Amino acid sequence: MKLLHSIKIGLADIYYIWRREYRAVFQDFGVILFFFALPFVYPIVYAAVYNPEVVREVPMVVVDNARTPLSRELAREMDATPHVRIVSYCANMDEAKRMMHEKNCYGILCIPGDFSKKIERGEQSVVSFYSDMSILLHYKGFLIALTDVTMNLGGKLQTQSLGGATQEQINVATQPIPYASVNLYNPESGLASFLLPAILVLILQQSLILGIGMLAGGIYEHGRLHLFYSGREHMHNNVLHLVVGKALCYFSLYVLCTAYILHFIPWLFKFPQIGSQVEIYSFAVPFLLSSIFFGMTLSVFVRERESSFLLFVFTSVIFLFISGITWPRYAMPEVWQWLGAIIPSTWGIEGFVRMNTAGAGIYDVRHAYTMLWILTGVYFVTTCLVYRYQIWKDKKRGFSGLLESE
Amino acid sequence: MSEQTENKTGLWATIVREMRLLVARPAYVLCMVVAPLFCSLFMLSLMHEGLPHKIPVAVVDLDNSSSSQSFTRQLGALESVDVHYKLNSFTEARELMQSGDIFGFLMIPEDFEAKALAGRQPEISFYTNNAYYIPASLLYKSFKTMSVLASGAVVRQVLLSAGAEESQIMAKLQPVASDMHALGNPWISYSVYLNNSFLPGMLQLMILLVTVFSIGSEIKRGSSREWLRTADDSIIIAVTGKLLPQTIIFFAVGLFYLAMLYGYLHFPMQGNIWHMIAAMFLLVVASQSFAVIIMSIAPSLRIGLSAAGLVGVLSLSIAGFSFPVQAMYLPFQAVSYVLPVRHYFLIYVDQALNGIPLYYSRMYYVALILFAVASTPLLPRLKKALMRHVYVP
Repeated sequence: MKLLHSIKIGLADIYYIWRREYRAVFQDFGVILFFFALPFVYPIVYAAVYNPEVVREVPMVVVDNARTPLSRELAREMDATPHVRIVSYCANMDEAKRMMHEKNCYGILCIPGDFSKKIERGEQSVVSFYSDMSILLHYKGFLIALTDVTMNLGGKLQTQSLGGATQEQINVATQPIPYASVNLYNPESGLASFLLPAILVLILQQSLILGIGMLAGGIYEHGRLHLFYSGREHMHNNVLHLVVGKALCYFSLYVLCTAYILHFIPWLFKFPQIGSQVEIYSFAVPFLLSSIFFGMTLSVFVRERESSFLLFVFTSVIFLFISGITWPRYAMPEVWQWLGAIIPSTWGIEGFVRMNTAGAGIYDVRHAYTMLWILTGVYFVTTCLVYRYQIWKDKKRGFSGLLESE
Repeated sequence: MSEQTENKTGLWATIVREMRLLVARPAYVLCMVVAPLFCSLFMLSLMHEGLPHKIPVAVVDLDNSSSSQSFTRQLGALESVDVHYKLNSFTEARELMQSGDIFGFLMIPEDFEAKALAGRQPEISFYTNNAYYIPASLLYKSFKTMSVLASGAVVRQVLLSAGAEESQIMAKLQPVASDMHALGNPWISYSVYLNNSFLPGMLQLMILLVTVFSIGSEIKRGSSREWLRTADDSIIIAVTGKLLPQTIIFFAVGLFYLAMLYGYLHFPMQGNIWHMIAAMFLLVVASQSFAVIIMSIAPSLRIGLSAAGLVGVLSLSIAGFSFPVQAMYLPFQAVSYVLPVRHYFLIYVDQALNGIPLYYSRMYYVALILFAVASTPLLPRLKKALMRHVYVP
């Protein structure tokens, strides 16, 4: 009976903290911004920035020193690709360079004077391309266009030299082993479809960390920590209740945000979304819990409401890179792999990208899923420890603050 | 000693007062020195290889002939590819792809060798996981190269048997060849590409946050009048005295970045290093001024920090480091030019990466100078707010 009684009181205590925390959240405009405005607005802004997905029609110029029908055909074929657009035909390289310096173009195709002569003599003809490297997407477009166009033109020339062959013979002669390339999961190789899923997961975690940090900073600043444990003496300042009650509050608030960010936004912007939503939601549970406890643990460093910004905003960039979405995890130095492994977003991003974008089931991402549960456990313990420590320190100072209990 | 300085007023007294504040709070040291240095060490060591090497892939070899095995071996010999798995079915490969063990796979069809010899065009197919952009791009390139080479090998054999000479073969195989010159970054290194723009972007973020925080804290703590008094009630002296120590620290961090990038790591530096040093100094001052503008318009610590965080983080995307500005929607193109780091980035491209005459970058330097002075007309407004010092939580 005693056990039953203490469970009952425990639940009542958790419920009390939970309700109290709701009030704390909704009375704090700054926290409302972090918990609701930030997760609402940032995904839309980011999605809009990257929404064009691909780069088309990058300006380039041609320096055609050959001026033959064949060289003109080469330039025309380049212009016809989706990747580039010829903005000018320059008389010489100096003129082309000037165009490039003035940022009127990002690439120069240089066709040598003996271009056609060499081909007619049965020699190999080489064209040169100079690409600006400030934006790798430009370079990539140029490279694909140039390779495709020169290979097609070469194939055509080979065909002509065969004279009178049937189509099949031509095919065998020019491309005895054809190939097919398939871009899985992100068919147009779009930048938004690749980057946004990772950013979405990160927004969930970072807004939680920032908001929880701000709440903790406010409590510390105004010396109001004792309100969470004094007056509840019958439960004897049970840290467990405090931590669970608060976590329940954040978790319940974030159910909506999670649905919006992980379900609605990919649908709205037509990102690849081929996973099972039910499984994604069940994957999100340990992700949210570990992020909440991670944020609660980190909140011990926040001594002032606003220093939450200073401490946590810059970590977003680091967490994004360390997750391995751009630079694959296996290629990182070991120390960063380890650091990445203790950040919930690393596993959250890995799991979400695979499930949402690549259609994996929760069984396929079991490693990430398990890691998130482990992190939940670890950060739960650390949260209890830091809360215990803070309460201990607060008591030692003797409730230094205004006693504005209700 | 302390009483003496408290009574003193003027620029020097304001500077001393600010330096005391800076060392008194660990958050400042963290944000001005520790975080920027950590970011540079993190980013530079993360990508020190330049490109991810040995990307794990699978080969589904349904032929198992000597030709297909030799093809697989040659694929594995590429620097960017590591044939981690040899599988027997598409489904296995797809599952490995979904669980993230491989970033791509290549399928060699049944009767590959027999068909190739008989001229019946066996088709090689390859699949890349484009949810991971960089590995997928590199794998696409490697797979395509190997497939084209396989075709070439067959044609070469046919031509040789028909009595062609080696010298003629290249012309027959590939009548039009291309020679790609990646100007300034011939290794196509991602480290060169990303760090030159992201590190200054991070620095701008920290400058915005710290500047806003240091001005906003005065308002929040109700010490803004005392701050103005120390500066003889001159807002110019007050702001100069407050920001000058920070300018020096941030500029020192910026110089450290430049030394790391162009000195220690020998990243491309085709122009004059002084042009970059000047750009770095202007970036620091322009970002500080940007933060002062934010605080003048919205003199509240929280709103200021929200704005600074928003601008600082979005800069990394909107300034066009990875996705070019020209390809963005028009409003974002406009926004990109009101970000100091965008102009710094363009100076870097001109002066360090391409090393073109300073003349072409003149407008970007002018833009940064304009940012630096743009806050002065707003200072009276800031002064008024400081005199009122109302703290909105």
